[in-house]
Amino acid sequence: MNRLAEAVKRIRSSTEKNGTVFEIWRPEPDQDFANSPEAHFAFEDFDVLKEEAESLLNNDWRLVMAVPTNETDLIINKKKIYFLFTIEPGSNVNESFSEAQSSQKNTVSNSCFTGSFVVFEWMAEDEKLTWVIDKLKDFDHKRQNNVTINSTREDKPENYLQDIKFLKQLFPYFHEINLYFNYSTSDGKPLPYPEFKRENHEGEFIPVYSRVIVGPVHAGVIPPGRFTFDLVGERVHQAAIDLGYTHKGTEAIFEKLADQERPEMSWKQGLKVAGAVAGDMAAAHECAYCRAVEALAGVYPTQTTNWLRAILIELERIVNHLNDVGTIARGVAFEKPATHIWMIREELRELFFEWTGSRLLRGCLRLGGIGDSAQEKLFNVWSKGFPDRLSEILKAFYDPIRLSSDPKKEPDDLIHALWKHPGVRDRIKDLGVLKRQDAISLGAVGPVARSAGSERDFRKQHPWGPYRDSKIQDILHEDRDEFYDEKNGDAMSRLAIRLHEITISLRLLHEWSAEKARFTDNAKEKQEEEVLEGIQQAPAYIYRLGYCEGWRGEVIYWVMKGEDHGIFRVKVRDPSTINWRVMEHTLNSQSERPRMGIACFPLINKSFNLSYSGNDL
Amino acid sequence: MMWKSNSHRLRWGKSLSWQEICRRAARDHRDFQPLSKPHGLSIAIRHLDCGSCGACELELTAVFDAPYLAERFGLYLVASPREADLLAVTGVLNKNMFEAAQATYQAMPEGGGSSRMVALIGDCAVHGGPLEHSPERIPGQYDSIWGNGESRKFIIPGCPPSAAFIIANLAAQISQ
Repeated sequence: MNRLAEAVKRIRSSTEKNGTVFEIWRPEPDQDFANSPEAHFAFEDFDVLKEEAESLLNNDWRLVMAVPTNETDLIINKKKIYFLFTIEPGSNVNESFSEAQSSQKNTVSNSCFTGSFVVFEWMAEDEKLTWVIDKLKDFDHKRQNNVTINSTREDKPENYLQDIKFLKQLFPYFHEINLYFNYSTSDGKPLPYPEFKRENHEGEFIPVYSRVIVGPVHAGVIPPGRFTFDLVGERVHQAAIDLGYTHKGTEAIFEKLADQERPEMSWKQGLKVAGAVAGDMAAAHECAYCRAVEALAGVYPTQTTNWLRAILIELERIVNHLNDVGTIARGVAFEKPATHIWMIREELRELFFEWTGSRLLRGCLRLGGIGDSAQEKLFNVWSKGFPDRLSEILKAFYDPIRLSSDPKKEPDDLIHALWKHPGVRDRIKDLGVLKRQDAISLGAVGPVARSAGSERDFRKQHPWGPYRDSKIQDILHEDRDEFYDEKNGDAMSRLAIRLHEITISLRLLHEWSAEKARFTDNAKEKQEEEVLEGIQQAPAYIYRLGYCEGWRGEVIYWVMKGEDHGIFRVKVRDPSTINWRVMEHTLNSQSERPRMGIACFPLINKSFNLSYSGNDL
Repeated sequence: MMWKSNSHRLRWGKSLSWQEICRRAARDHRDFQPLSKPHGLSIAIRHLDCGSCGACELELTAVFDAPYLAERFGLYLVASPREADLLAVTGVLNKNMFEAAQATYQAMPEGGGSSRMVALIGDCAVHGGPLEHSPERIPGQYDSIWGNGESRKFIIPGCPPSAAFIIANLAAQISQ
């Protein structure tokens, strides 16, 4: 059923008297639905907004990001906050997708199939604003949601690090989530480790804690972050993750690009900054940024461009998931597959260099299309079917051809060597369990959420370009796999989901490269100038979303245009922003598991593998 | 054994030769001049990220792993700055990391004829790169920590510099 229409109807009927402004934006129907439709509401009264938000959240919507801006500051001295909600995947996602596929019409009600957004716009008064900003700081997990809003704060790192500690009540979800449990010795429950207790002068046994503080500088090639563990013996009683050491003010950099003679060129330069938000997820970040800017300009890329972008994103997913599998293998001291995986990773990076000129698939995109050098080579390679060299490289790891050949034959490749090894299984089974309801209520995204049994995947809920193919959707919705029998949210299922997604990505690439229709599309490539012109024609302070599913989860960009045609505000939502707190919750919710020692932390960390830079921005 | 290793191409012995590394480095950066294989190097490297995007870390990880295995050329990774000869920094130096970076640099041994060495890896560390306009960046970046001339400074540009270029360029600059 059409859930966006339902939500819109409900919100409209309940807020008609409150002067709510309402608007639906949807992409041009003939542009292959570059973006999903969005319903926008503007609220004046915060209580009404909160009520509506709660009703949305109760009806299987979830909040994905909140954007404070100050575009009205100059005129009426008020700030605005945008809340962006999206649909939580339900059981009938697949049906409604095929329904929508069969009845594509230009009306709003039919074009909203599974993916759509609701945006709440709230003009904030000062007193309420302070309160909300405090809560949002937690959600955004960094110092400055907006440079101007928070400029009164003293510019000291200590202040920041105190600020970003988790608050008990998480505003975005309107749930009471107890992240920390109180471990004060006076009323804390006795812990089942008598040897780590001592008797105090009143004759009570109290646990003996030792505190291990790691970081910000770690003993390895890792970005900085501070981890604090309170231990009882070896067991982790409580863990805290303090981040923010790689805070570069990335969103402010976007705004600073506009101070030039030709402000519209800032959109072009913004692409470089977008690629540097999280260096290992550059293709997804660049793609999301491009899609946001293209939606703003109303200039949509051709099918071929979309197809090549999707290929880049899937390639990035394959190489990074492979990398994670390797680090997990090394984490359980199974060095042999790890080394083989480094070899494969290196060969893949060299292959990417050949195709795109970047080993990390960085800087391959441009506004409106693919970068000129990458475009030609990528098209030449992929329009001739699945590249032999790619399957040759991946053969030792996973044989894609086996998918269609004899399924009864015992597979003999690295994936199975790792997956079936009893030592590996014993080490990562039931390690760092993230419960399904926790994953959902904390808003976990990406493979982390999917390994816990959630279905959150922007490829399924907000498909674009080649993902909208029904065959592709069928592959994505297939969740039966030899690696994917259990989704209980432990480190093993996080390994399993990575193995699973590598095979899914390979199958997607096979499908796309086999489909000849993609290459007969003779539409002219959209040029950068067309996009920049389109931006100049758009009204000031208009905002659009761009998103895609990167390998860590959904990447969302929110861009707003200023009066001088330059960037006014860019808001980045990297998946790590949310998943870091999910990981902290995971560490803190293992109290009943005696195996959760401090030595397990590196392995749990590796199984999450989150970006520091994407979180700190 | 679950895994019949004979059925695979074993690649342990397939790490890249010095010539191949130089070839790749020259491919990635045109200015690079291939040089002969370094001998007698023994440089303990400590990595420090002061606000990078993670791309330089990916390449730096590859430097010490198969197939590059930089230990063969006398560049190896250590866990603490107290035993390091060279501090390899990545990223723009931001305010939150300033103190930690200072402490890390100060913890490195000095004296006895040896001076501290630092390597700026990636465009961000050298001149800001794509994050040049960062409001959190310390003016003067790393020079505010080690000043000019106090330590041997190596510069490895690139966004990110490839693993081959890091090895070849670093070895070339050190053995000069």
